[in-house]
Amino acid sequence: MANQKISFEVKNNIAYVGFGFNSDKSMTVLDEDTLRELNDLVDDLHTRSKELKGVIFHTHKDRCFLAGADISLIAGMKTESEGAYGAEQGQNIYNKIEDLSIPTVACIHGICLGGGTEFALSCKSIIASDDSSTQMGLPEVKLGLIPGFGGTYRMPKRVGLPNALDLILSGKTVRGNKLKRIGLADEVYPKERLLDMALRHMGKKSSKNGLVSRLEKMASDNFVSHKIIFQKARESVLKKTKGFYQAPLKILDVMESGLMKGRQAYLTSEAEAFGELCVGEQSKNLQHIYFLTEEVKKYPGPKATKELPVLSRGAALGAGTMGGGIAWLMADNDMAPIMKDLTKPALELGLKQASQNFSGALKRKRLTKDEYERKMRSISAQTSFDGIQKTDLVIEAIVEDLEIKKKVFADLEKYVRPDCVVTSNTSSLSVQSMSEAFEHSERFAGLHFFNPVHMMPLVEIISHDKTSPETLEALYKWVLKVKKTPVIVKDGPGFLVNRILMPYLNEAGFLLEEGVPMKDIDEACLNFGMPMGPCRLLDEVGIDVGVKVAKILHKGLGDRARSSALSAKLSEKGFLGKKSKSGFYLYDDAGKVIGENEEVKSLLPKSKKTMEEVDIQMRVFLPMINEASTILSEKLVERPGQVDLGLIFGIGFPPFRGGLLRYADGEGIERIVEKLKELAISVDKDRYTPSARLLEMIEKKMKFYDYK
Amino acid sequence: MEAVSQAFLKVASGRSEVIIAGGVESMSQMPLLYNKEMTEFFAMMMKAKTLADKVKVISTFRPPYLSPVIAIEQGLTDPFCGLNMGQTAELLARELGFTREQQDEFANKSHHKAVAAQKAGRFVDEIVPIVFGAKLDKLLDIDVGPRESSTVEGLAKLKPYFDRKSGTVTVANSCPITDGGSALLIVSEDALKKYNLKPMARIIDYHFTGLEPERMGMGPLCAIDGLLKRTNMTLEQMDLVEINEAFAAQVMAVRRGLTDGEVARRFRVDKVHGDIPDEKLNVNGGAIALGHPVGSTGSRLIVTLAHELKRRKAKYGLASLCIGGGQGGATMIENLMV
Repeated sequence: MANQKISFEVKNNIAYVGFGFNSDKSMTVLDEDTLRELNDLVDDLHTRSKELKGVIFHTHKDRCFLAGADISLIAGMKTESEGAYGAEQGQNIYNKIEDLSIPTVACIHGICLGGGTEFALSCKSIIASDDSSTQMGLPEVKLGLIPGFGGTYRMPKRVGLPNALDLILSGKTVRGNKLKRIGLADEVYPKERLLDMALRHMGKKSSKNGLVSRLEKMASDNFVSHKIIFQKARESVLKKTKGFYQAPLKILDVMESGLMKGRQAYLTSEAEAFGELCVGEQSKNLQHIYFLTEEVKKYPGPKATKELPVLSRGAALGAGTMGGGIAWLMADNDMAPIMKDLTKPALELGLKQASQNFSGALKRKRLTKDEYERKMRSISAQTSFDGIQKTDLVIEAIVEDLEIKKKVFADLEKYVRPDCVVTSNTSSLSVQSMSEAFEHSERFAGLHFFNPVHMMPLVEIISHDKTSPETLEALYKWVLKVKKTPVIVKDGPGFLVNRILMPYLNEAGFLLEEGVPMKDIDEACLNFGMPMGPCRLLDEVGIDVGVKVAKILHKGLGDRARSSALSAKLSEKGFLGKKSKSGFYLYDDAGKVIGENEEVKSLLPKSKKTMEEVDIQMRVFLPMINEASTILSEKLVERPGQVDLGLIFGIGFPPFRGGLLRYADGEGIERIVEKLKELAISVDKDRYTPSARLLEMIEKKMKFYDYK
Repeated sequence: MEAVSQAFLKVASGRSEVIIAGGVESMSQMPLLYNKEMTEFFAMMMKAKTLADKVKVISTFRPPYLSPVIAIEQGLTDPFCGLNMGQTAELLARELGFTREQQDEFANKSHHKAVAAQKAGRFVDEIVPIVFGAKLDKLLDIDVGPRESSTVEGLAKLKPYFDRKSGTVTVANSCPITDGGSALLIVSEDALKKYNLKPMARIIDYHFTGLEPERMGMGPLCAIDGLLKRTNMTLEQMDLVEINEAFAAQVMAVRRGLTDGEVARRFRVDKVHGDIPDEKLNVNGGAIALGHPVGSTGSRLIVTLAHELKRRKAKYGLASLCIGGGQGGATMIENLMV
């Protein structure tokens, strides 16, 4: 048998089967060829099982065991039965592995997810390396899927029902010693010792006979507790997903009904569920996002001709919430940052922000106490520019004032090296104007983080006329390195995300003035899947900040970006949002909403207007689509995927909808334009007149994603 | 100071080009230790194999085993003469006839000099701020020792600590228990050019000497004498002198030894070097106000000295300290930032 994808050799009557053979890709996936070869191999093992003492499965790759099924294979599924058939094929192979009469040991080193973990589960013993790259898990739910190769059947058997539900429903991955703690791996070893140690696990029954585990098993493994466990899991799923997501509920159905079934019946229902989900719109949308995030890993900007600057040491100017968060990000990525501000109290504010972020990681055991201490102490809080000539990347996050920023940049340029990349974390000011402060403006770009830095994945990289390709590419790669999602945007009012967010916030203000209750507006948006309604979001951002940005957008974009006078009135009255404990809502000391702000109501019309939820949604989301189409025609970003990813990662646009423009494509451009035209007449001409791009799309019968 | 002299020797001999020398001490973190009986008890428990053996060992336990040994007291007690450092200061105060008032006066001055220096921002350049607190979110950029409210009358209220009946040395006219760290970058002339560095000061020479442990406070007298002789310089040529203030009485004793030939001879110093005038000695306060984190003090004195020489555009400076166990050390530097 000629092995292309999987190696096979026998040493001392033990078969060694290696994945990632003959491959120059860093990740090994279960594509069609690999599955076919694996199937043949397993058949062969069955026939030779008399002469073999055991089988050891391992990887030839340094950071990957099996990254799971090839997603494009899943994306290509057209019908439910095709999907179910695909899952069954995999299940059959894994069943055959499970049925081998000889010992089987999976030596997991590197990424082992989805189909990879399901493969390991079908082996009698799993051992893992303690390498930081090693992780196991069943992330299918994140793609709107159910594990289809027997994962829901075998995982509870190995780690117990509560652990299995937690893993499968959250899709989270597990590494290192935790693999052993939850019982997924029998033992954890250094990677160099993995294959030698595998011999010790030959024929050894995994030792889960301790008193504690037996008691645990007794407590969780009976009919009554199963009922309770499933009920709790269902409640928690509904709470977390607000019922928007089908996959977790489907998973619960399969797993609960499966308890009474034998292997074949269980697996059949799993395969059926897989088939159903994988062709569903939700999963297709989530797969779409997966492909977008894969695409993001490649730098899309202008090609660099010179060597890229190496960004290894950083500095944050300004130690506010953003500055502190940026200093944290740099410290966490071992950039030993300088954090500069004017006074000691200001610096301590930034330190507090950084410390909070690190403490959170410490609590969640993402960080050891020593790492915490070392990283926190790696931040140099200072009021001078001392040592700034050693930095490669400076991110400015001082007060949003163009003149002050320009002065600081002119001053800064006297101290930094000529090859130091300088960026501004401005959210609203013109990057082009700022660049005028520089002698070497090619090294300058906007780098817009979203608040709070440690939670929000999106970073907008804003270019101006003279930004060099080297600067852009270096920044793009840096953002990826610090595990954020970059999107390159040309300079313009509000850049990408805030500009599209503008109608979301503005229309809420107009609706309020028309007499639509605040609760109805926010709820309509929540029911659409947004993480926060517009009023609640404005409170979070700060109403004064909103007013300031709205003015800039109005000035830059004209009357379609006009906002209602309500926010300005609130801001004048000192209702600034969450930070002043009162905005549209009232907040307690911990920042929790305690009710609506009654005084806001006094500024609004007495007579209430009831509006259908879907009408509110139209009022809010259609102008967003309209604005996005203008942004695309202005070529501020190149592709519709960048808009969608930006909104998902920047403001939490509901992922199951696949993004704003994918949603628009799904709804039909024609319908959207028609509705816009209607609203342009009935509500406001400036705000709702369909853009030239939208009209062009109708004419050419194109969708957003038809533009490449 | 030993670290600095090691670095000086290695660089001067051509063995090393660039060295960071300094020291760190955290006296607030000093632990309590199990006493000898308890340690032996633990050892017996480890050896006991059977249950019966263990019971037997447990039965030997006595409550006094739990009384702890205070590590910091142990560390500051001379194992040969049995005196702790405060008692050696008492001895010098007694023998040389320093009154309680004189010592308190000295301590009070140290605080006020330090406070004045802090207010004038004279320490800003030499202090690297560090983060502190349980959450590491506060910035420490100033010494917390100096007390503006200090008065001689206030100091007089304290009871003597080391000789409770008739003593004169109190916790207030001695240095406090302090955490601290300091370091210097010491490079060769070649390295200076290679890395394009601008030097602050040049180390001229250093000297260490031994003396009786009971009177270790006189260490600086012997070390200064040795250093001046090695370098063929006079005390008068020094623009600034830092003598570490382990105890007020101890610095006063050193000063006496420099001016009184009879006292000097007791410590085998055959030359009267002359007094160090107030305007040259510990001009920004000393350890009584700023603290004496033992492992860091030597390099801290040199750092402080270099900065003050630079500020005054003065030329020569000398830093010296006494060392528990019976030694003195001194280092001479020349300011290069004139």
